[in-house]
Amino acid sequence: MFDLEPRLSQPGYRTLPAGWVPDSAIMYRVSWWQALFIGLLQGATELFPVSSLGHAVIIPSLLHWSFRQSDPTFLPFLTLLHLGTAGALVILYWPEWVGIVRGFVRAALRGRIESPEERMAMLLLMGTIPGGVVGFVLKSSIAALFASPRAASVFLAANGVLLVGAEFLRRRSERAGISREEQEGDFKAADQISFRAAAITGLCQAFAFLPGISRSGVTMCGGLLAGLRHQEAAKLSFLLATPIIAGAGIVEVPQLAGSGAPLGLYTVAAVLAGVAAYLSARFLIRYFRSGRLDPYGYYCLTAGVVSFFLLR
Amino acid sequence: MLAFAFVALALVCVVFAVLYLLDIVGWFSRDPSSHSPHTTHAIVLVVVAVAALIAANFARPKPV
Repeated sequence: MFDLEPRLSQPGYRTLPAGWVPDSAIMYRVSWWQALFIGLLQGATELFPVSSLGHAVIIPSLLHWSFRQSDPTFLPFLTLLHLGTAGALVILYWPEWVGIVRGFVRAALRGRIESPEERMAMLLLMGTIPGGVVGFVLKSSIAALFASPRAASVFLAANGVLLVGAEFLRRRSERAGISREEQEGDFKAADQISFRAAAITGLCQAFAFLPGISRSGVTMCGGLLAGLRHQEAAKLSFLLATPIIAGAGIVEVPQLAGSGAPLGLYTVAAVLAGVAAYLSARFLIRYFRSGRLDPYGYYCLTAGVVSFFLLR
Repeated sequence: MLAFAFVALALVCVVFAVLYLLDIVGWFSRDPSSHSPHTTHAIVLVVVAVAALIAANFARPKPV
């Protein structure tokens, strides 16, 4: 699958003559259930603030799956899965995206914002460009981190600290003694965030190229600290995800072509990721009416620490 | 003044996009020694150029 390393102790593998470079498409058939499992995992965890990329790096190592995550086709495979989840987000927010695209064109040509859709379009532009450029410049060095599941476990724990910390700071701004719904009512909608906050939140997305740091978690934390309601911070996170994931797909997925990778299987995995992401998004939108990031923060902290010691 | 700065940024990005496409520069490339066009770098620079032009349109003086 990703230039498999032969494990002589495992059934189904053979000894290779010295000097052979295995062709993964011929010598080792892709394990279809592994690809589908990672697709499901990716889709289910992409929108939760728990780092889908970190899980995709750590879990195969914990399960001793014999593929090399530093292989050059691993990142495009994950990016294809990201495209599946981005597709789910477009479907989920289709009416918003139609308005945003129209608003973007009108505001860009006019040079002035005159409607909420136009404002949201420009907020997404401010949030996407910095993170995208920084991530693009750093991605060649960041890709090397895929070879280190232990590094991903450390970042996952750090992600947990980030989520819990953001909720701690948020609580200090909330009125006490009222219901969660009333507390949330004191905060803003997604299109009311300032452009400076949108740019900072988008820049923080660049950290999500580190396996273990959750893009949705970082953007949700940014939204909360900028004064958004939890549900609106999640919505902003989902909207910001779409162009940056699509952009990464444009850059990375063409590398799958001609690599001998089983594109049919990977496409099915991407569709599975999209279905899981759609269902996850629907759940999270309902959850964040009154829910908080703390449970996900404690999960990331625990999972990061435990996997760090298990991966020795 | 800000509008001019954004237009200048857009022009610089377009110039470097062309340089990347012609394989004259290979900065920030995974394999700078590769002689294949750095299409992805050019695409990113064009996107930044478009964003800079949009910013210039917002920053330009407008009739009251």
